[in-house]
Amino acid sequence: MAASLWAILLIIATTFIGAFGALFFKLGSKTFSFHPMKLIKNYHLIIGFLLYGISATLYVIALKGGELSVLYPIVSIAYIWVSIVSVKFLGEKMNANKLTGIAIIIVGVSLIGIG
Amino acid sequence: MENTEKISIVLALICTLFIAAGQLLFKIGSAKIVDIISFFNLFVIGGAFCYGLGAILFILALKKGELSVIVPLMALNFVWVGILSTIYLNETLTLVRWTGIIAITTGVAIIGKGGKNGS
Repeated sequence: MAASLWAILLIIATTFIGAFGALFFKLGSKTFSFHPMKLIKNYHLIIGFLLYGISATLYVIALKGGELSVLYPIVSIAYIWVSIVSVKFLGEKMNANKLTGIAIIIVGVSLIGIG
Repeated sequence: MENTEKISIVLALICTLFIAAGQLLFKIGSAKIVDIISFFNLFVIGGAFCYGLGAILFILALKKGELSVIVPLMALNFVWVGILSTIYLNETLTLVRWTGIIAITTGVAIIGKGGKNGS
């Protein structure tokens, strides 16, 4: 098998965590300032960094369990999570473009899984 | 498309090359991980460095480039990684897998394009 199940599941988990990292970055961008004192108090940004760090670490570990050309495409699921998260938590709108894109990504990832 | 300068597209394309290279380094580095210390090996650090460079190029590309043009270009990452995997990692890419990669690239590009109109 080109990739172990644990690696695939782990990558799906890291994309989920990463999507929340993106959410917190977006929330932190509202009050963003380069000012050190303001930066330290930007809790959203800090949490975002932590989530990204965790997801990146888990991702690298997951790479041990399979081929890059199989595992990396699965990262595209992150775009699906981000779409869901941004609609649910940021009030952004779903539209035909996003839904179509999500559907095609699912098809693509499934093909990677089969191929 | 008129609002996106050529330089931004060039920056975005170079960005994707760095991110793809970073993925390759991550993969090579992951094999060397046996404990916490070996996690921070040269390849993993190199991969993170490439990724960081890519992130900077991405932000620079967005300076004069529209999100709905630049973000879809990031979809090319999946194509580059496929190519790099065959060349440097001896992985075999079947026709089915390539179709999957093209589908994912298309899907990501569509989402990237749809973001500006929808939100």
